[in-house]
Amino acid sequence: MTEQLLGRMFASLIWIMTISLLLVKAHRSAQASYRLQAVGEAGLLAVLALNNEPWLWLDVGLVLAIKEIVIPRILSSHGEVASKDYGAKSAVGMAFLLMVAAIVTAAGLALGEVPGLDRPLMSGILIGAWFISFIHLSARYETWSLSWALLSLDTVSGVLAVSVAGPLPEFAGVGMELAALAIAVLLAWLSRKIFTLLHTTDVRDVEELTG
Amino acid sequence: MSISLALPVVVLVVLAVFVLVMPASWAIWLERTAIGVLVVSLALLAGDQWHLPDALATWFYLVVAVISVIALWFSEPYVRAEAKHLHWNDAQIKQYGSLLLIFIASLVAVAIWTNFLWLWLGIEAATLSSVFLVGTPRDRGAIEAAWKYLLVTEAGGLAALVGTAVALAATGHPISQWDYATWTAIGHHMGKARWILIGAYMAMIGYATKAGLAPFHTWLPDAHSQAPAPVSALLSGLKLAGAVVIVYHLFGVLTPTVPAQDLKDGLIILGLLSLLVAAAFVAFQTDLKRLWAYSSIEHIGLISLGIGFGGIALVGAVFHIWTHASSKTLLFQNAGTVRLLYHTSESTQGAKALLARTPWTGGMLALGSAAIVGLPPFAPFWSEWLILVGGFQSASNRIPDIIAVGLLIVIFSGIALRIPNWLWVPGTQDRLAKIREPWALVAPNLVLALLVLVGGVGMPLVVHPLWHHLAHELLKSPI
Repeated sequence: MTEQLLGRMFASLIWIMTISLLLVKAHRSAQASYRLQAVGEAGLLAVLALNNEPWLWLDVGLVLAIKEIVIPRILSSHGEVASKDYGAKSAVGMAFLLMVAAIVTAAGLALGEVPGLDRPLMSGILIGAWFISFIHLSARYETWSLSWALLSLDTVSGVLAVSVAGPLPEFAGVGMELAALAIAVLLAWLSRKIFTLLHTTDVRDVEELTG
Repeated sequence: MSISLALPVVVLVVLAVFVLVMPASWAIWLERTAIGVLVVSLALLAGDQWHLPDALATWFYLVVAVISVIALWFSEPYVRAEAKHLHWNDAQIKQYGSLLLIFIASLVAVAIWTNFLWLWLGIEAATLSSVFLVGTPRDRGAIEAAWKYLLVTEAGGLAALVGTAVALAATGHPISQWDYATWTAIGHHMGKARWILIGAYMAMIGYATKAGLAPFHTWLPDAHSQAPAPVSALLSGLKLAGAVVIVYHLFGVLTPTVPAQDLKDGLIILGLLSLLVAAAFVAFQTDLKRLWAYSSIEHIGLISLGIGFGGIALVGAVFHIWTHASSKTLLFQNAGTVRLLYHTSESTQGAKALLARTPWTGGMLALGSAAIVGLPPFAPFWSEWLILVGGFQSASNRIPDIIAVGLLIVIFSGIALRIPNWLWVPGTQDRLAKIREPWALVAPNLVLALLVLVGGVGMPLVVHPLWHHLAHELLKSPI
């Protein structure tokens, strides 16, 4: 019972931080939201580790080390253009984005109630967060925000896959998480490259990316 | 996973590591060693000394190995010229060589591995290595294309991971048995059929972004036009098809619980959308590599349609993996040669009168273009014919097939309309001098041209027992 409650709490933290990443107006605030989202992921993995999947403790350590320290550090270096950018360049207004987030969260919760999932509420919250991070990918125009969107999607997808897949053999559990972390590190590295090359943070100004 | 399935991948990865740590002058020899490894594996396969999980895996491995050998062969002179032209340093040359071998290793993994999580890892490794390969020139256009490629296909990759986990977990199999080669139906779990369908569609959409199927194709024209030519060839010829093959295997294990037609409808819709996108854009391309990128969207759409139609069309789709790979590798490598010799592949910026100025390169562009628009007796004609005829024969509804035929006519007309701009429309007077064509660049493409010319009939004849067995298995397939 306590484990279920903890699982829902950490899933909710991931969900809130996914919304925060969608809405924040500065690169630095996105870093903070991403770190808190990673705390939610580590917490959820710890709950699953307590639930007879001890190998996931290794994942908890890896998530904390890489998502709290390595990735924010990669993205904060050489990002002068991104770090000076303040604003929310979005296809629609922030209030509308919040409404869309609420609607897709409801859809996620409803989907979680479809019979067949072991942890319906927790899975529903995570599915809602997953939808929000997809919306983030098409709703914001700043390159730095899109980078955080993909990192957010990576976090939510990793934890969603681990939680719905059922009890994992050690190799598969660690392997899946390692793959998700490797993708996150590579993405952060490539995002830093793009920050150094572009003199704009708005993808609409980038010819290649619109065609 | 057995050691024999892991070994070729491990050997190629070890060679890739050596390329990275050894001096740049070693790279050529290590890449030649990789060619040797692939040739030996083909010999072992032909001699019945090495066994792959099933006939489709063997067929796809055959395509991967043959095309990779030719791409590695072409890559050596191509990169030497490109490095000189674009002033690559030793680190860039080593990084390119290492990533190319990792890319090929991951394609081999996608062809022969059988566990769905390992297959996902394989296609992810192929994506990430090719993202860096696309960005190898390190100029603004290449980095932007790589970033866009990463953004779109990683979103898809993560959807594929979640979808695969949801669908397979819902079947009731433990994760250790998520393997198509050893899959056994453990009864119908109708209570979870909805989750299987939801997961299957999520995975299909995810892998569709990897395959460049419309409407998830937006990364493809940029990535193909910016990547070094051998990378464009492998991306188009092998990686796109690899993602669709994974979807085929996944749908194959899910069909006992979910009606096959429910799954196949998704592939038919994606296939038709891909043909529509190609039809809308192909006639307006002025860059040769972008033209072939849109043609790749069309071809992968045809493979998706063939799997969706089933029956003879499925046999055609699997055959199209080979005909598409050989013809598109020829065309992308040839476009790379054009870019090297003319310093552009844009018909509006000087890549004109190819037949007069560079007869071999122009001749192979003419041959490849004739093949790609489905003219007999070239290889793509046979597979496209099988897909369309199979669509008429086995599909419950013939309308998608009729739409596909109409869209193909538009696409082929668009390509036929564009190609003269490169082949014989003259440039300005000062641009009419002949250009010397290095044989090192021409020879690999000549071999490919031969394969495109006779491979449609020749390939099934050369590997007759395998093809017979494969066709028999595909015709029995529930998908």
